[in-house]
Amino acid sequence: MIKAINFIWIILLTLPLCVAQKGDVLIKGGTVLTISQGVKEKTDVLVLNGKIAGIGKNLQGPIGIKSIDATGLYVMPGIIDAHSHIAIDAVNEASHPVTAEVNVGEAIDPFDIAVYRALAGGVTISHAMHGSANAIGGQCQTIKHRYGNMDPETYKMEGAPRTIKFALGENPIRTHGEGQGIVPRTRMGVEQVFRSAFSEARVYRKSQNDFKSGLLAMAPAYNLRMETLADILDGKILIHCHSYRADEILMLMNVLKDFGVKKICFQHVNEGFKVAPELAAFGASASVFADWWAYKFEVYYSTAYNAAILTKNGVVTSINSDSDELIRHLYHEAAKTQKYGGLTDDEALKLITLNPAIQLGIDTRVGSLEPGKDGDIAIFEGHPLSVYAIPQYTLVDGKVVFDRKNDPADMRLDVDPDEKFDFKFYERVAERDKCMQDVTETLFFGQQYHNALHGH
Amino acid sequence: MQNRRILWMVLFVFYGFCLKAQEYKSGVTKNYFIQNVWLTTSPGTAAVLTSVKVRDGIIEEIGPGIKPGFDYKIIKADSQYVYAGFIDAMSHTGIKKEEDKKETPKLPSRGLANYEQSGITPQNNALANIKPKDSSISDLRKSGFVLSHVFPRGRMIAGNSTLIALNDAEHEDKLVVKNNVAMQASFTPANGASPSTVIGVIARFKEFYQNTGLAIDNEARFAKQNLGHKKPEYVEEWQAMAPVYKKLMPLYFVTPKSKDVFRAVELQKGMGFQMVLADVQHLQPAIDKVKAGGYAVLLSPQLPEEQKEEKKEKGEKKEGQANADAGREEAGKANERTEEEKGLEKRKKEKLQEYLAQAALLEKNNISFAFSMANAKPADFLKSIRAMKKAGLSEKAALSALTTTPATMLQVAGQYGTLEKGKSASMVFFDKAVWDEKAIIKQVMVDGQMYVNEEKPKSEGKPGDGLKLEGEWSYTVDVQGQVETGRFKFVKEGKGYSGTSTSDANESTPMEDLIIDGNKVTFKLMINSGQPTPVTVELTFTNDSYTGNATIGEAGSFVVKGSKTNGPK
Repeated sequence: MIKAINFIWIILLTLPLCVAQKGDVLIKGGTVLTISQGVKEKTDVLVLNGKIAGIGKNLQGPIGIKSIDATGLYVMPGIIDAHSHIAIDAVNEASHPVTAEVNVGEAIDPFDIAVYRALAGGVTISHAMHGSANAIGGQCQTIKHRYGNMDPETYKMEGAPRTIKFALGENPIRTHGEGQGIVPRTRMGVEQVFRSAFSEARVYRKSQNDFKSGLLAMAPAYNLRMETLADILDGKILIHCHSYRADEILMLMNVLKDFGVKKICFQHVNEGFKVAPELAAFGASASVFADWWAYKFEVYYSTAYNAAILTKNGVVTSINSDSDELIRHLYHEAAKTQKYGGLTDDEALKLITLNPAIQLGIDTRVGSLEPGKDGDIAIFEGHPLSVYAIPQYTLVDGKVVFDRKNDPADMRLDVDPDEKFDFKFYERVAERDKCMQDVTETLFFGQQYHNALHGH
Repeated sequence: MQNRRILWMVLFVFYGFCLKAQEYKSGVTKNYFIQNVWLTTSPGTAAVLTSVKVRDGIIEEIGPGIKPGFDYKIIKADSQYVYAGFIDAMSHTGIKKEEDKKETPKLPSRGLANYEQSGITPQNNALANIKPKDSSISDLRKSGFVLSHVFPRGRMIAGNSTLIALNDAEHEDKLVVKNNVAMQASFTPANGASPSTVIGVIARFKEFYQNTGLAIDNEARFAKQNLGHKKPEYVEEWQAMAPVYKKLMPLYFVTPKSKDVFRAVELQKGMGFQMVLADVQHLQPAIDKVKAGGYAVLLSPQLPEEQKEEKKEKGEKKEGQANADAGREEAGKANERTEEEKGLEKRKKEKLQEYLAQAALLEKNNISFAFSMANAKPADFLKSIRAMKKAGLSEKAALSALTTTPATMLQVAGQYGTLEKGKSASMVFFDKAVWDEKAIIKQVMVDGQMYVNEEKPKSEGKPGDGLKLEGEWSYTVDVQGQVETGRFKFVKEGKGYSGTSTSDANESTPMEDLIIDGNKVTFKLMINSGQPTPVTVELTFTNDSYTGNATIGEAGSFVVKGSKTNGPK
């Protein structure tokens, strides 16, 4: 206990000084699952200043370097979750069918304990996403799980491309059509939201350019929503689209073709298996659940073979969590594709490493163990695709941020001094995706219920 | 009937009504001779025994040997401790809080909210909303303040401020020291409209700020009178925000916690406005960035519930404790505090200490700070500052934060903040040195006008020999078939008594004008649900029970009955 408290104190005292520190470490003698270059037995991994400096036998680091004995352990790249909502204080700005102007990266919650729990499941990077209440939602943020830092800025993965959330189907229809009586009330309406938003953005960008070139004498009003949409048209922002039904997936690809947008990753994409060749032809990627469905009407036609079918058709596929619970065992989720679809170890592991990295545009930095890449590493006892796998260490930028042998009970970074303790056992509310956070209560129980829950 | 029932129900709604120390305004003359006081002229200097001459609101002379003129009122404040009057660096003094609307306002369509619906109202000015006779003005003055920097109440961009002197003028204009001093912003979402989240607020803020800049540029282009330049769009909100964009007016960003601080800092770095971090409770994790940015900080003296816990009466369990006990009982370990519980409590205590130490941390880092009374109770604030002092804040820094620092921030340091010849005669008189836990404010002078705090016993008369009033008494009142229950509580305080009325829903209201005459007790309860309604209660006691009646406003009189439930019998 005393040890634990000391450990917390050490963290607390050093935290304000941390500006996303980079570490040096030598991981010795493990079974290294490089993902890109096969499996290397009894191999060392050397990380210097946060980057992988070498992978090989009998590596030597500088004198005094921290060393981890990985004999009998499995060393793999840090797991990447292409769809989550942890470490952010706001998920849905559900006040309009198009809210491209908002950015969840501006409301990072560095104190979210879910980040530490994710680290305890080997996850080093997650894609903190806006929710799916709007056809065009807000911008998302790729975060590194640098737990222990209290400055939200340190969570942002420097150099990661901008991403934005789109959503098809029931969620935007329910929120805006049913909730507010405005477009979109139907799936046809959702398509028109995209088309009119993009068309408006083109007009907007033209008037901005006209002013710059002197054709317009007065500066037109600045519109952050249109600026963002125009950036999508210019290919500066990757789209990640909440989707289920095959017809809608085809619809959005058609819309994007018409507007010349090439980069898209479909999220959930439960009916992706029906349109796998079309996705591959477009160059779209897919981020799916291993076996989660039937939580609403449009998600009944699903299969656990989805990831395997997509993979076999050449679609870059990942498995995501969309949940602060699932994120703790994404390695199990990936393993399910071996039961349902017979993927190889490498194929299954890619679903939670290199493939999500490609989808987030960060594959040159992370997703496999190669010299020059970031020192984001997960170390397991037991093969990570085995049901007996237990994460032992998780490293971000070469720093140990989870160590199973040194895992105090209370890892919260911030404590409410007015906190009232409650030791009663409450049954956990049924697990569900967080895509509709901040919205559902308002929608089904009214604003007052929402206010009572959230105090605003 | 319905009306009466509502009246009775609101009777027990606590409405922030505090027991008031009485105060009276002294004299017709504006010339005072303050005799033999321990005067601290500025923070960090030692108190000296001296006299002060005040003429027409200005300090005329200070010195041990000075003599009053014939037309001076002599104030024998012998051995009182005098300091420059305190300056509240941010609040809503004189502006009533609008009750939260229960229903979401109906807007034409979500997302199409205009600036006002979005909470962007920079054109709002505090002065237009200040009620000169609002009790918050005298409450703040009674706590030693002479100036208050008042912002309108609002949301994302609430509006611009007025610096007022806390006098008792009939018209709000007579309070004004200066107007349009600063702008206030916060991360508060709109009510039922866009933006509905913090990310929406940030996006909207950026866009609005950018457009303010474009409006300024467009106006400048138009002013050149070139051909082809159509008239620029005139938007009131852009006009009102322009001084902030031009860095002529500071933006007070309300940032209670470190996450808010980090977010405001990012906005400031991107846009370059002059920023003051306002109403801060906890910024420790962000201290380096605050220092690097050179921001001034306004701390809230409203601390977490630390002292309340100590005051907690024995036998009365806090809600959390009761739950914890319930949890232990379930686990079959009724009397054992688990390691988990101990650990959690330890961390909570450490965090409390961290909150208390915020002021000392700012001092150590040479960050300029003052206090914001926006969400603080004036009656408790000195207790909080003394607690901060215990946590390491120096006396000099504490007094500076109350006087010279806010005076400098508000650009009135030439007139306020210290006591010198030629400066405003605005000061506060204590019976002991200000940091003495028992020090009481005897009087406050605002621009040469003296206001005396008079202590009045809380009750009159005394109970008869047979009546042991102290303790808790149940009550039952029948308002035309609607039975309401609760308890009255009487506490002995000094020579008199004080009392509270608490409904079964745990809403309590203090008793006022408590008169005890033998076995008869009368008191008033002031309730407020939109408009204040007085309730007069008259009770006749026999041993451990009583009967009586309650007169609720104009609604009529109803029978009240009850008996003793707790306390000496």
